Amino acid sequence: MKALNNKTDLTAAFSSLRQRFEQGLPQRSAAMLAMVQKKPAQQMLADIVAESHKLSGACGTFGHALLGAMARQIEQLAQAISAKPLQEQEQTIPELIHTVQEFDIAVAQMIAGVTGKHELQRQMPVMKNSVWLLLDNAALTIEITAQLQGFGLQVEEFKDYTQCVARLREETPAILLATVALSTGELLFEQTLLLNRLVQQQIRLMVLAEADSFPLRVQAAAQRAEAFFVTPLNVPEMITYVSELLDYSSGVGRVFIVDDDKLLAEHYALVLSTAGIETQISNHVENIVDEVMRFQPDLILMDMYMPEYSGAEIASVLRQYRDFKRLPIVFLSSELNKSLQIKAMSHGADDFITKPIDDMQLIQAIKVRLARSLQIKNLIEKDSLTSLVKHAAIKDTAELEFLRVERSKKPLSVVMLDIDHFKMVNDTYGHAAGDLVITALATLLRKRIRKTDRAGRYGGEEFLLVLPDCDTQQAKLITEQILDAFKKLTFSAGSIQFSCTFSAGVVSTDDNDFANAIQMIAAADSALYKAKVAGRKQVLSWSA
Amino acid sequence: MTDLQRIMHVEDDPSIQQVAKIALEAVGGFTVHTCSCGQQALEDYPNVAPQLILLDVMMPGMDGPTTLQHLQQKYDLAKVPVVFMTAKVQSNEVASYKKLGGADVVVKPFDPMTLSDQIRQIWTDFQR
Repeated sequence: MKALNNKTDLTAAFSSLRQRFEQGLPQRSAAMLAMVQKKPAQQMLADIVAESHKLSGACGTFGHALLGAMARQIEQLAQAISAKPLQEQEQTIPELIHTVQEFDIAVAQMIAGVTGKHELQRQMPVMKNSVWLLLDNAALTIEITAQLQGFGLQVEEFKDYTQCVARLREETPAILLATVALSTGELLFEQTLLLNRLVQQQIRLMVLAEADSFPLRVQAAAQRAEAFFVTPLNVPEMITYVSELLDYSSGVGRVFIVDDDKLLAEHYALVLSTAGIETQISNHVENIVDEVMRFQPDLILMDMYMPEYSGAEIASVLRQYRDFKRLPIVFLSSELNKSLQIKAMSHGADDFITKPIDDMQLIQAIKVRLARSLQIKNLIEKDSLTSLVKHAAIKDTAELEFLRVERSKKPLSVVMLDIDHFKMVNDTYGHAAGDLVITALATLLRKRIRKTDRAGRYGGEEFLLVLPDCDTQQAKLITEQILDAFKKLTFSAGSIQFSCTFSAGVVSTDDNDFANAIQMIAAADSALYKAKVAGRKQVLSWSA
Repeated sequence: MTDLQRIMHVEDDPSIQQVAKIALEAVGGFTVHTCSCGQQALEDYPNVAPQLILLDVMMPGMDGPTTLQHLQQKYDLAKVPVVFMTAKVQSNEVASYKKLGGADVVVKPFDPMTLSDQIRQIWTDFQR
């Protein structure tokens, strides 16, 4: 054969080979499916190993990396089974048959031009509080497991990729924390099969690497890894990430809709609510400031042209308020004229979604923008160690809730908590241990309070709880329960194990005629002081 | 150093045979003689007189390592590098293939566009 200098000829030659290979695939996979059900098992397994080995090499060469990975899994499974004693082989063969069937389905889908994402995969319910670990460092696995279980999370451990893929066929965890390389030399980012499952089952991925490297981070980013940790693993930081991720998945966000066409607005609201997004439609544009203030949206979706006021005008008005400067405003417009869009942006719009847009696209477009906006909001308002809101934000919350009491006539409680002898913890066990204690308490607070309650990191080891519709007795009870749970947590610093306590002061609007939230916080602080003096590890109310 | 021209490719899978042939001939400008099994490789060797042998590890009947043993017994392969070809391996396996007398290992799946560069590099390294 003469060298083909022309690149087009080459591409054509390869693509005709690829087509021939693809056309032959259904037959080969069908043959393998017939083969796997044959007896005797020993001969069948050898045949399967040979054929799947061949396919694992060939599929990849012809641009079907996923099929190649699936074939390789068949090969490995068949090899593992043939290494077993004869009487045990029988039990594991159904799994092999299942794996070959999956390959056969994937081949059929490839032929039908269906991409992996829209596969006929059964939707499995996500195990909301489950975190899977894929690590081969035993000591680290034990440490992480203990910490995560302390917060009521379910943990499963895996030491190799194949095992994890097999288990993923049965269950869907919320998060997978995986090492980028196993000691065998196997690399996470080459596990096409595993990565594909993560995408299909929408599992959040966090990775752990021996050393930081930009190329590795890019690979992790390509797999949508939510976090990239470098050893030695900062356990408190990891736990904060995990609890944050689990928090996000519960509520997607709130969208305020402004459109003069009420029917259309209702339609958007309905569509977005099917994706778990909370919505509210603007009633009177003149009252928009009030309405937005009350609804506290994470994003405003606005029609660009309305009869009375233009979207740009309304955006400008909103931007006059300090509270709304950061609120993302997204215009829905059929406007294709770029200069008009840019003009609208100069009035405070952040982005455009061009109409017509189908329902799925709308959901995706809004979700992407919501996620980004929540991330930024968290960075600004939340404490990096605990991911609770910071001093200023929790004080604002207290103030806002205090004002609401006038309307709701329901009691509001404020609790001030402080970890006992925290300085000693830091001095004795080191700052890393101290951080772990703070993260642990923060995570407990987040888990134990109601959805309407708020917890914030008020100072170094000081926390503030704002509990609407809650009287002194209830607040005291809740805080005591948290104290009980906190006492039971054990922390480790090197080989030493220790536990901690906190003291707390509780106050509610029923206790006194407070003028504002600042006074309540001061009262809670003085109750906290009383608790400290009375011997710590207790919750006292201001009125007692 | 003599240029690499004649390659013998021993592989039982027709689809891989074809894609490797195009990859090595059309992209790399080599001449490829394809054998479908180890037995054929043993028979064809004297006539083809390859400068390099690309040998699949897993073949029905006589596998790659066995084929290499027979070739070594019958012919002098001192100047003929033998490159094993196999689906994804772990690093310790590569070492074991080299112990068997393989000059190097080409991992499947391979990229048809870069296969000949890889082979040329192995050839150059072998001459040093």
